[in-house]
Amino acid sequence: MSPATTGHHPTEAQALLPPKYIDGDPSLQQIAEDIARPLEAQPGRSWWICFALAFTALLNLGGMVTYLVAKGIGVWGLNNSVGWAFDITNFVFWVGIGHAGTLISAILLLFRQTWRTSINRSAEAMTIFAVICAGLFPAIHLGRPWDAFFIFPYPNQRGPLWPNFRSPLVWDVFAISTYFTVSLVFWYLGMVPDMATLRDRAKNRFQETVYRWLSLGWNGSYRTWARYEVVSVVIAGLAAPLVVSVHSIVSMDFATSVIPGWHATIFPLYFVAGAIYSGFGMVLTLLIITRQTMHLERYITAQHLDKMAKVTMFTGMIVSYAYATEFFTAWYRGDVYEKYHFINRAIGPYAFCFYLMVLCNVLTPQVLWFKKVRRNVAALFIASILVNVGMWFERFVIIVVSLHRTFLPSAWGMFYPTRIDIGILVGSFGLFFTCFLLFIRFLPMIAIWEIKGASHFERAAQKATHA
Amino acid sequence: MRSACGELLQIQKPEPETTRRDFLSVAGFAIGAAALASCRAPVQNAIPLLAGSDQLVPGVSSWYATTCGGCPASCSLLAKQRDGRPIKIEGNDRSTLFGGGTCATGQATVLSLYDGERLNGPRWKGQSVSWQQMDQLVLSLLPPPSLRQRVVLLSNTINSPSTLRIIEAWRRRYPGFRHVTYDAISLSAIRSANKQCFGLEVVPHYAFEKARVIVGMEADFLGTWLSPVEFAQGYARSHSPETSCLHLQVESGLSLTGSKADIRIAAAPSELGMVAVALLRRVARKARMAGVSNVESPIADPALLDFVADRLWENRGKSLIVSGVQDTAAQTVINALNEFLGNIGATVDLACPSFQRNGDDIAMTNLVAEMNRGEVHTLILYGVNPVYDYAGAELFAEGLKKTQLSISLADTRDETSSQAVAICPDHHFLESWGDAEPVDSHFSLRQPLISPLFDTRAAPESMLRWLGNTSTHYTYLRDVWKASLFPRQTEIGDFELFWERALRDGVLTLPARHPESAPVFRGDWAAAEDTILHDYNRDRSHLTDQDATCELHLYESVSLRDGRHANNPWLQELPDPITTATWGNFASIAPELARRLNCTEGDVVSLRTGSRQVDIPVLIQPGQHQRTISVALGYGREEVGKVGRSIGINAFRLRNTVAGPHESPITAVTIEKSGRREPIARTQGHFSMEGRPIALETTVHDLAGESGPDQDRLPTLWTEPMQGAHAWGMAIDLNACTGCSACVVACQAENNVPVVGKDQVQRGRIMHWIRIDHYYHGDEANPKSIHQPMMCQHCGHAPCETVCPVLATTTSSEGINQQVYNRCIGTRYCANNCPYKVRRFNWYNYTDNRAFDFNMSSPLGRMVLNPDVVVRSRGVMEKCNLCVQRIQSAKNLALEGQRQLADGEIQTACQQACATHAIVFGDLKDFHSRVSQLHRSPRNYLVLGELGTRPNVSYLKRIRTTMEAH
Repeated sequence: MSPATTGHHPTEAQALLPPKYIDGDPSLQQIAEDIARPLEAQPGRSWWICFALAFTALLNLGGMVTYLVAKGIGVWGLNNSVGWAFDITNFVFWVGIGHAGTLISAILLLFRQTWRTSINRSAEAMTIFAVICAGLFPAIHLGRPWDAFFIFPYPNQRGPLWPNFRSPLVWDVFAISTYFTVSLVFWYLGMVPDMATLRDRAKNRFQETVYRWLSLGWNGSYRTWARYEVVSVVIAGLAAPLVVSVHSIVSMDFATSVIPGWHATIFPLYFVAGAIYSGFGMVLTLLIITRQTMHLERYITAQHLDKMAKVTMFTGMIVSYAYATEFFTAWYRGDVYEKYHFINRAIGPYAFCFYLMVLCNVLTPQVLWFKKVRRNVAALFIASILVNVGMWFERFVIIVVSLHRTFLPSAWGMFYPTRIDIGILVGSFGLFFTCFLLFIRFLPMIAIWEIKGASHFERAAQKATHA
Repeated sequence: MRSACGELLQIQKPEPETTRRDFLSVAGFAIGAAALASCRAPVQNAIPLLAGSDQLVPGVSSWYATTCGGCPASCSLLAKQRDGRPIKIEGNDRSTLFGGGTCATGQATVLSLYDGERLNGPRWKGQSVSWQQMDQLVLSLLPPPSLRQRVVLLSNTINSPSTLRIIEAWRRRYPGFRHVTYDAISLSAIRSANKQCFGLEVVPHYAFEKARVIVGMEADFLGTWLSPVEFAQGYARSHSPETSCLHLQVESGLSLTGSKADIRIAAAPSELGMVAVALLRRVARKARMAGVSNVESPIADPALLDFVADRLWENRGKSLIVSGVQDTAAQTVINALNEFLGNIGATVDLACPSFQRNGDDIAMTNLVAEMNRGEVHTLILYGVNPVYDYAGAELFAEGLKKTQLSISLADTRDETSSQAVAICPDHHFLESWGDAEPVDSHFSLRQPLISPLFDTRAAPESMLRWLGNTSTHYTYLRDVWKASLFPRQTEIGDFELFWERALRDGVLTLPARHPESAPVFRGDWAAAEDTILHDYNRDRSHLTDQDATCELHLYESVSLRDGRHANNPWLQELPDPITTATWGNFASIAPELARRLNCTEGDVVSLRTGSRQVDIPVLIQPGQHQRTISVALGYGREEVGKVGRSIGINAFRLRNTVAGPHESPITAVTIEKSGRREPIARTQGHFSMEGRPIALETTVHDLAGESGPDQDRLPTLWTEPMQGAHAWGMAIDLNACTGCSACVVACQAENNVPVVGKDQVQRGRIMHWIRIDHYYHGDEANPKSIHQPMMCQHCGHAPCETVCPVLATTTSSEGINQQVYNRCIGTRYCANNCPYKVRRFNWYNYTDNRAFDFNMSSPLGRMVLNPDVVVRSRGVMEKCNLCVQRIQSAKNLALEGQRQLADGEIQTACQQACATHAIVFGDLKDFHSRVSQLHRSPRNYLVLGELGTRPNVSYLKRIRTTMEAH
């Protein structure tokens, strides 16, 4: 089973024992100290460097979006043939990133996977920030963003005129907004006991006031805890289907169209697997950065990384299978347009994107078979970056390569990104990392109460074994 | 001291009573007042009519018959006038010559009216003067008739009877007067050959509608040659799918006509004569002429020539051979061919000739020599721009300086008018009276639709003034018609009635002047053959097999023609129908030559002819003759408005210094890669159908086996959308479509489609609602080619509709896929999901935006906008809506008249412009409508119909005659 139990004679008590996910044996006091340290101390130099970079990118995003809205979508490299490129690629990429957070916090909670305790808070935070980044793109990609509210079904005096409920873009709006709301509530609710801890630890009145408000009057009573557990499970239950539904619906933006390369029934599964794959890639990237810079190796252990690497490998192979299926279907179906599309993917002008995608998403997961790689932080970090790159290119391939050569060869074209395209992509990372860096600075990035609970449980279990 | 005391006193004053509250209220008031003051309503320069006109109802369009001034072909037009502004050009279907069609250039002329850079008043040596001063200056400098000094009117082809009458008056007044006709693109070899062969120095009137077998030699008669609208119309009639017809085109570069031909031979300019000779020998043998040589031509496939000669012989009197080669010997051979085939008097009418191209190259050469000798006292320039387009432009410019008085009657600034002493700007043709006789006894009247926008004066009126005649152009014109045309008809006895009707109809056909004269062929075709053989052998040795030596082929582009329309943004942005290139010209080279030179598209090469050199990007053109380089004329204008300035290069500079009918037309050119790159803005990048069933063709033989369109529709889950009284649909006949692109400009004019400029076209953002797709198939060296107009297919089950999140695009109850601009938020999802890629997005604001400094950036240029069609803002999607405004207005008229809409009553802009009637619009619910009939044709098919989109626009297969089918 899990590595912690190997090497012991299996006894009845051991079989029930959870594996050990925290290095050392910190006291409850120590746990709170360790996790609250980044919040209470001045941030280190590495944080400031990261923040300066991220914030510069964010400012760049602000400038470029302003320019975009002032001038028009023409500042991007889009054209009559390719109506979406970086905008929707970035959107799908960021939505996908978010999925790992919900999977870790909700689905693994429901499956009682206690190893998630150290990482679920930051994974959820990642979800929130990724969905914010994702939400930016549908808004700014509109020709007339000031009329974006037309897409919401609000009562009006035009008939009333509702949005087109047949359009997957409308489904997107519902899916993403639901997802964002549920994720936000779940994330916040998860932090309430920790807010109370921070309130109690507050050194000045201001902090105390803020954390008191945020802790919603948490008193730590038995009844509070009991209700809290129930609410957590209920919301986790609500969030769990969203892991599957959101990216399925995003995939329908493509699957319900008529465009070869988009029009495929495999898309929902393929997209969800891809989303989790990319999300775990991003969680790995973030956690490796934070555990190294914030010195939380004790809480985010090699075991966590190992588990996440395994999930990454598994979902990566689903994605690879989907790629193969797409090619098989194109050949088996014999449709001239679809066949051409897949040939064009492999040998057309954007073939390098396709091969980059194969390298990152098909070959990279294969190295994770080796425990040595999974336990090597540097190797894992590189792999996680490759996963992110690969998944961005996957979306680019699906969107741009499908659009640039559709049915009528007379209308074929090419997409070349402009500085604004690239700037906004970089800027979205700026937004994401600015949010994340502020999060690890001002909010407990590991669930203190859950770690305490887990460590207490471990300790109790160990005592029981010794006895 | 005092002032210091004062300051002291002030300082010692108690604190001022202004509190912070007062300050805030005052500041608030001040800011508010300033803000209010700057919020001024934009000034609208709408000037109401002082006295209303009973013919001018606001919001109601009226149509006036007039005559196009775009080129000397002088097509008859109907111009749409709305609220006092001409806004649209259409063909006049009462014209027996031109039908209702127009060409792209003609369609675009309405925009030139609103060109703010037209000459806005008379100028004497660059100084603005009044017309009165101008007349005094001119009259004081014109030589007294008694001195018999040389006064020359240099004009392009003039076929206006009234203007010719004025010229006649000048001739009588000034003994030293001479009228020299100079055409930048001359057909003088035809005239001189006809003089030799038939004793008639004319360009014949060709009857393409009677010709079942057509051989064209370097004559783009469907695109630019002589009278393309008329010829395209006739060609489509003779090439109907019911008849078995054949069209062979022999040419060096792929022209519009060549792309339409059933069979095409790529031949270098030096080889064209040889192909004609080879054909002539075959035909002469059939005609049992003596002394026909048996030597084979090395150029074309003998079996192919046998086949064509057989078809020609079978269709004696119903065939036609035309050539645009500027070589008298070659034209003599063509005349002999037409003579032996019995076409003279049948399809080649010399008795009622064409007056559309009368240029005399020898007279021009002589004039330039005279000018340089200082013998020309006064030179009047009318409709010509030789400093730009004459082969010896420098020589001409030198000579121009030696004249005592040079007067330009140009309406726009050009290379020549800017060097003239006096500029007396002419009206735009939509502002002026006039007439034309494009073909003997076929008259067309011109009337103004708007009073002149600038301080201009009709050129004929200027010429009248300088004769001392004070009558207006209008009265003079009327008098000419009364004196010379009215008596030639017997139908109407009263001149007033006659004039009224002529004005209303715009056209008048009188009995031919010499109906009985049948010219006798006296041409020495054997001598002409010898000349051609001799020239060919000379050129062979001349053009040695050096890699870099090629022959030069210069051609008129479908949009800019000879360059006079260079400042028209619609034409600059019109994709060339063959290459789909916009905004500039290029050197077309064969794929094989490109490989040899290691060139890719956009590589700049240096072309050198003798001492002249130009640098120009290359375009790799399938079907281009391997040793020929084609370059479009009309580009590289320098003295022109900001739209056309320095767009492309001036290929006229590469012409032989002395061009004349006796000069060999061969220009050797060397080509060398320069290493620079200059991308070409093309609207289509891929020209192969990749084996997809998109633009289909068939043969008469195959068609016989076809039962008609498959009526079984694919099953669907959607409900039937068309519940209304009508179901609008369209049928596009690929057999009739020549690709001339008149529809593209017509649509642009009708639907206020913006011009976006070269950079945006390069980025793939052209806004045209209708495009002409061009595909090649077969051998790259000489491929078969097909044009396909492509616009919104108005799908019954439209992929664009289901994906729009805000219902901005829907199908109307009458089957129109309509775009609701106000609702559109610009997701572009619809464009992505459109299988036909016909949707156009407003990437920027194209109106009143200095970044897009074309017609829509100035108030004058915006006067051309159609008030019935909204101007789209940035961020919204747009596309063809089947001219819904026209449908609505026709419905309103029917409603007013309490009657049913008749089939054909509604014509979309593209349909109206089409000379060949390739586009048919109508009601699919009406079983008998023309469009319904076409939808049931065996040639009918749907593009991408297998997707289940159920388009209401269908296509009819093109029919190609092949050698194999016979």
